[in-house]
Amino acid sequence: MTQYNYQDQQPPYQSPLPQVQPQGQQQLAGQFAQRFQLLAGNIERVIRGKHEAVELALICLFSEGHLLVEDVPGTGKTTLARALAASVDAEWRRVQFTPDLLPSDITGVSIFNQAHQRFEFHHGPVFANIVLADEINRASPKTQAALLEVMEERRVTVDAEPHPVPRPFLVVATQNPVDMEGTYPLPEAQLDRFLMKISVGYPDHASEVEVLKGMPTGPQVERLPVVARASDVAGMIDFAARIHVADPVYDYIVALCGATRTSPHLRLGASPRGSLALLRAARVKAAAAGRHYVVPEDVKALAVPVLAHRLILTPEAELREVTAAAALGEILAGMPVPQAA
Amino acid sequence: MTRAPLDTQHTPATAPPAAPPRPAGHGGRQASTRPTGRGGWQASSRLTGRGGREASPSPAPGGGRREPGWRWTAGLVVVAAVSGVAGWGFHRVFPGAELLLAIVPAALAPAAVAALTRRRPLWLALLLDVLLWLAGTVPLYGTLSPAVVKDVADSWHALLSTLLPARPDPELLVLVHTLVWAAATIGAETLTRTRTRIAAVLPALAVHGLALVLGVDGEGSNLPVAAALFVLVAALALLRGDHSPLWLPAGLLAASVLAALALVAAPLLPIAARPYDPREHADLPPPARVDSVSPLDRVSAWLQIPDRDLFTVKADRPLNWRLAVLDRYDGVRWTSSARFRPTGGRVPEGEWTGAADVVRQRVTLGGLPGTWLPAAERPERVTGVRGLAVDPDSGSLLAAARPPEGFAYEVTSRVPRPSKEELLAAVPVRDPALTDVPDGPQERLLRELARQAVKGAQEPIRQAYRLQNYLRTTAGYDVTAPPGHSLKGLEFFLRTTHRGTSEQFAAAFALMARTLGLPSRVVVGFRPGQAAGGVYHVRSGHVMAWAEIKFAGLGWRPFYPTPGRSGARDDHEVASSAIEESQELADELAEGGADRPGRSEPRAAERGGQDEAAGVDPWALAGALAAGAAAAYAVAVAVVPWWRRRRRRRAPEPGQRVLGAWRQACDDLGLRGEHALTAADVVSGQPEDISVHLRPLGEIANFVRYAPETGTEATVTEAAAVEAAASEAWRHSDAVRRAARARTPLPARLRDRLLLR
Repeated sequence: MTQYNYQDQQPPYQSPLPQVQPQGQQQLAGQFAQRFQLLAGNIERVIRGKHEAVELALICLFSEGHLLVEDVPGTGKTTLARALAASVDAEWRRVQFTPDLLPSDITGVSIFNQAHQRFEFHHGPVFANIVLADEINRASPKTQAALLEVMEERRVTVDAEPHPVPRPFLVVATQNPVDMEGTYPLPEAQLDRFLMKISVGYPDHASEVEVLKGMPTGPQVERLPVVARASDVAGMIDFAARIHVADPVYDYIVALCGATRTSPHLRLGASPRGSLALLRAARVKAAAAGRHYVVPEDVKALAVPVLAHRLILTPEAELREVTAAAALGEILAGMPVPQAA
Repeated sequence: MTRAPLDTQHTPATAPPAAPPRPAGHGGRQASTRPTGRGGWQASSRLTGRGGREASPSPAPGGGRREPGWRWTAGLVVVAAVSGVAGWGFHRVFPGAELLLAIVPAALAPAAVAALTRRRPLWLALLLDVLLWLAGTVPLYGTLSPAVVKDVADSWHALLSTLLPARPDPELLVLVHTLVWAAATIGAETLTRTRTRIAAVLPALAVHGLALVLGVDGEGSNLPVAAALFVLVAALALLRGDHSPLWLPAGLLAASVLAALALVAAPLLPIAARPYDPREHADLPPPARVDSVSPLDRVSAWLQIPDRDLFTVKADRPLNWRLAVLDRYDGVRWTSSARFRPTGGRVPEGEWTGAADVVRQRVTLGGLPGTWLPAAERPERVTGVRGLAVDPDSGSLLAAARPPEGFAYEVTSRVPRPSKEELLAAVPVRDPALTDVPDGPQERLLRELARQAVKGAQEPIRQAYRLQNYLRTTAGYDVTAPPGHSLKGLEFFLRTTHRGTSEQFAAAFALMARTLGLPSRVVVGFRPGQAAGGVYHVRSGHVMAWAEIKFAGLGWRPFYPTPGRSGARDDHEVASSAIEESQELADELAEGGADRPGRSEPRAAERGGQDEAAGVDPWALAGALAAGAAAAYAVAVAVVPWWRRRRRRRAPEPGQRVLGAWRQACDDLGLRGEHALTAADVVSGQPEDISVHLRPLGEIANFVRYAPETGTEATVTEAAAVEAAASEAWRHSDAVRRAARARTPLPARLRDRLLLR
């Protein structure tokens, strides 16, 4: 895998804003945006015409969240995860979830070493920076729970001994919404652990033509250059967490999540974990746009991928074929954007 | 006071008493008498006895008194006639001529036996009577049936569980035959072997009483039979009396007068208003599963093969043809609790007794499976079906066996036509069995959806129609929808697919209605079919299920919750007039109901307004007010936008000026009041010449709103930069204003200005 020097590829970044803020913050936001776009561009060399999905996956990475990709087979779910892993100089593992997969197959297992006369912990595939959990809904709930516990706590505890997973740590789980026979759908409580649930979708005509033209000599995941190191990613995560959020934006997020709890279409609204997730993702999106502050546009743009999978519709809404995304859209359409602080 | 005349007529105590004249026999003919040695009197007549022998007061052999031949013979004839007429009292049970076959032999044979065996022992007479009774069953059965005794024993219950008129089956007629035979036998032997006057007809009168009770629900009148019995009994009393023959016409006249009086008085008796009906207390047959496959389960299958000819109906108007009624739901399937009772063709009336149309149909069966027989609405009479059974509650028809193809029968139905007022005042019947829904999450779903569907309607009929409209508008008709009407299936239908056949729509409607306390059931039937020359050809694709709700006094009212297909006119088929009427009622009732102010209220308000303005010229006052309001509005239209813009542009803080520039741009774009739009939303909807200025303006405004403040550490340079940003913002805002004005026609601009938002 070739090392890619991203510093040579930086495009000029021009802000339309008056240069009245501390130069450090603004410049760092600009650099963040450059690296973000660099990663996105690298991934889009193999995932054509899916800028939004790629951007959301990267936001997930820099938010220290986890990503659930749900779509029909052949739309590039696995390729997206692999391209993301290949673009970052980080350890990545893939686990194909099957009904007979055991929790220890993921987390690892303690084996007695007769030479040393003690138990030694053998790390499972979850000990990687990027873990691709392919078809997560095919594993038993017990195995799903083991992975989801690691996702939340970022460590594996075996025999009362904690084993932290490396940082950054991103789980990209995929599931197929069509072939549901023999699957164990993730319950709402566990769906809440995923920062986002996205759908890659079919490419448009032009993009699909490009994909066809590129085979078999075009860009492939194995040949993608590494454009960021794990330490860079960790630094970007730390920077994104410091992005400024004005009080009205906090109010906007809380009001938005609160509205999901009182919406007549929704039986279960977003939890405070959903509010936190939306805030983290909005910070990254702001940084990715070269801003060192969050604007309501960031929140609004991420509300559906971050919140929709956490909502449960009322029977009446389901009867009317209202989706969670539509219900959320209705809330957004009626939610006043915060005015000046 | 003189006693002389009395004394002169006194009879000496020592004189033998004068022999009282005593008639000999019923003829009253005078006979010479002489005292007997035992203090009695012995009659001697040439006309009594046989061959001039002396008549003896002791009973003749066999117990009968010696009588004149014609009186005795006439008495036997009367007894036979009374028995026969009493048997004819069953004409309300068996209206056909088959009844005569059971009556005539049974009434005549015992009289003949009595005549032949009057001098023989009674056991011999009874033996002969039994043999003749057995022989009398041959015309009924066509042969000597060994089951005749068992049939007599079972016929009671069979008659009590049969709707009248009953089928003239031998198993039932044998009871009449036996009763008449018993009455005639007892009567004839009593007449022959005793001196009683009218006791011989008492068994026949008991039979008549039994016929009255068993035929209380039948058609026809008992009066002719009662009158005939009255006359015959009176005649027998006269024949058996000791009066002169001259008494006979007088007695008959008196009996006729009494019969006429009874005719007038009988209807006035209290029991005549509601005669006792033993069928109300009879043990009815248990609900029976009459078909291996529920008709509701056939709906989807029939829809998959829609071209199978099932039956044809010749009728003068298109109606839905009902096949089966299902009123019990166990969470998985709808079943029928019908207690079918055999009938000769009459179907008991439904609950509705008001205005109704009578529709006659001739149904010719084709490939219709099962034993259910289709008919329109509430049948009241069916002809042409042997072995017909009917459920008195639902009016469903059932054949004893599956009729062959080409089998035809005729039905007369009543189609209720209640008025709108009667519908609005309708109150649902309280019947827990008809409002039962199995508990569970689906029940809560149905209850919640039903509650939302009725939108607070109070009247039960309005609730029902709103529920019907709700289902018709929120889900679609799809013949490929998965079949089934279990709670799980209905939940899937209501929550996920929203596609179904009338099976799901009707089942869902009925269950949702039950959660509202409306007693409901599901009916499986057919749409009218394709019309050709007054004949409706019904194919399997015309199958349809609908629901019914029971209202007190109205009976069952149909509701058609299936969209599109219910009243479909596709493939040139005919829509049922019932569905059209139902839809008209639904349109009229379902959407109304809100309490609307009466006409008197505005008038009262107008009057109040006039009272307040009294004393002032109202036109002048209104004109002045209007002119003042117009002037104030014109000033506001001219001044307010200018003043608002000026205030924004001259705000003391540069940040406020930036935000003012943004708001001004939004106002100029007609977006005032759109508080839910972010800057990006506003930019995204604009053409390029506007967005090119709007985008940087939005970014500056966002910066001012959401970026962290520099606080007191801001340098002079930074302050100047912010001032410059504010100027830049207003430059963009002005550019947006110009571009927006260039794109907006003058009338639209004037309208926007006059609206003064």
